[in-house]
Amino acid sequence: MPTTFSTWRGNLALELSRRILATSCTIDFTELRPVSSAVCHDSVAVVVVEGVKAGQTLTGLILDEDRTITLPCAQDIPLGHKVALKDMKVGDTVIKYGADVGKVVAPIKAGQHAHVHNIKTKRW
Amino acid sequence: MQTKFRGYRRENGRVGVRNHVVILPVDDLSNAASEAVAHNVKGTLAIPHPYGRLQFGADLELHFRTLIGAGSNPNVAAVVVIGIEEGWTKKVVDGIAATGKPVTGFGIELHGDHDTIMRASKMAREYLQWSSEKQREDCDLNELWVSCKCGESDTTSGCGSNPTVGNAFDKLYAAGCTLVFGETTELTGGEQIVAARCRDEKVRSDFMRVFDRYQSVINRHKTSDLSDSQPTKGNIAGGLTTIEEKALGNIQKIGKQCVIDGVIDKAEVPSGPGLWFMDSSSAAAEMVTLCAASGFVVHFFPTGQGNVIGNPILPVVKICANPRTVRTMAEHVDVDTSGLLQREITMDQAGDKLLDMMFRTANGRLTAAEALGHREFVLTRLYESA
Repeated sequence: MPTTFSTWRGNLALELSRRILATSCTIDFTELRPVSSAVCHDSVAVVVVEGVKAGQTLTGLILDEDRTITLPCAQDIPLGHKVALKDMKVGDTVIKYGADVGKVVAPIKAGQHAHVHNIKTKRW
Repeated sequence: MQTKFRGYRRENGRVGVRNHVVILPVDDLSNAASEAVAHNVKGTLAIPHPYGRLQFGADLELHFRTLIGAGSNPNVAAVVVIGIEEGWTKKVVDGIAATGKPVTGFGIELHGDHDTIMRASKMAREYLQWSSEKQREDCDLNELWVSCKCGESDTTSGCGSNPTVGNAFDKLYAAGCTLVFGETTELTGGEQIVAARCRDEKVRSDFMRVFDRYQSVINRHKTSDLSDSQPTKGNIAGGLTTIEEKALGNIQKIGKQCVIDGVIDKAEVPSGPGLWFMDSSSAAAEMVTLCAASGFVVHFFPTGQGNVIGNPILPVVKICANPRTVRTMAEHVDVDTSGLLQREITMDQAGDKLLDMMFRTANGRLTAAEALGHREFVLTRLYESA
């Protein structure tokens, strides 16, 4: 996983596209392909349904690719909040929209709630 | 897509979608008389505000530009201006009169509130009856000026309601409309993406100059990392963690195709069609008021957690993709795009749904904010009064 996105930032093509969503608490897609880090750079995804509980398996949609992934959820996560897609250590860069959205300030495991308790801005 | 809407053509050729007679106070002291006039003459609209005394320099210029711009907006048919004294009142009247629309000013000093209210009410009554005979006519889509600014954003804004606006903006840009976005500090983390979308080096350097200036304001005054202000408490409750994440969601509003054709100052009127960036605050009511003052006649306002804002002269169309908000705050939502996140509709369909509501709004449908009486008119201040 890249920790900086200088090449992306210089890219005028504006691929604001690698957004990942957890869209459902059930798996209902048969042709799931493995997630490749070369394709999917984001390290967090947004939960877009209410009532996501620890232990559930989430189905995620990569919006611009119209492709789905699955992820075991390790903690309860409110609607609109983020779930980590990978393990991250303190100092890592958090990637969303394929871009740098901040730094990790407390260790995060895949499937855990990723928010202000473990991520901070790099600005201001 | 439709190519016509039914609007009010004004004396200067601009087209409005509302037909207000505004009672405009120049200063805080004139609010009471202005509201009394609007009370006397039902159907007129007073737009009170708390400023206009002892301002100076660029801050005073912005004050005048905002008041004159609001009065000049083509959603306004005629204006009665009331100020504590006649000098600054005349300045506002003369600025609005340049559009050719009916406008008269009244100074309170040497008259008192009672006499001023009586004289201004007589004028307002004449204007109201005159304006009530104005008819809507067919207007071309490219005569519509559309602004955008989001508020109480959450993560559903970045992946639902904001890209819906972006999809609609791409289509309106291709149709030759005049468009604007702003919120200078709320691009922090996405500024290079915006810079890359500028038409040429001149626009890009204009943009980076205002962006860097605003950053220096933040850096000069901040007492923390702004984690209580930007993102807001509401943003954080909605799942947004950092300003960078918020910014990357915010700039979804400018779509994928349209190009930034120019940079304007607060309440400045764009000189031609295209997408403009306005150097502005990210506070909702301030930004929407500045859009009204720049001459925009319909506003797209995507929200996640449920901002309830409106504006007295600029109809504010609310777009929301958060399934909980559209359920719990339904009366505030004009366009529900929550189906996007459940894969029930495509982004293209969501954009078309917004454009359909835009045409209905332009043709006269009252927005949720108008129906609920939201008339937030908030002037941006640059610094302390003298």
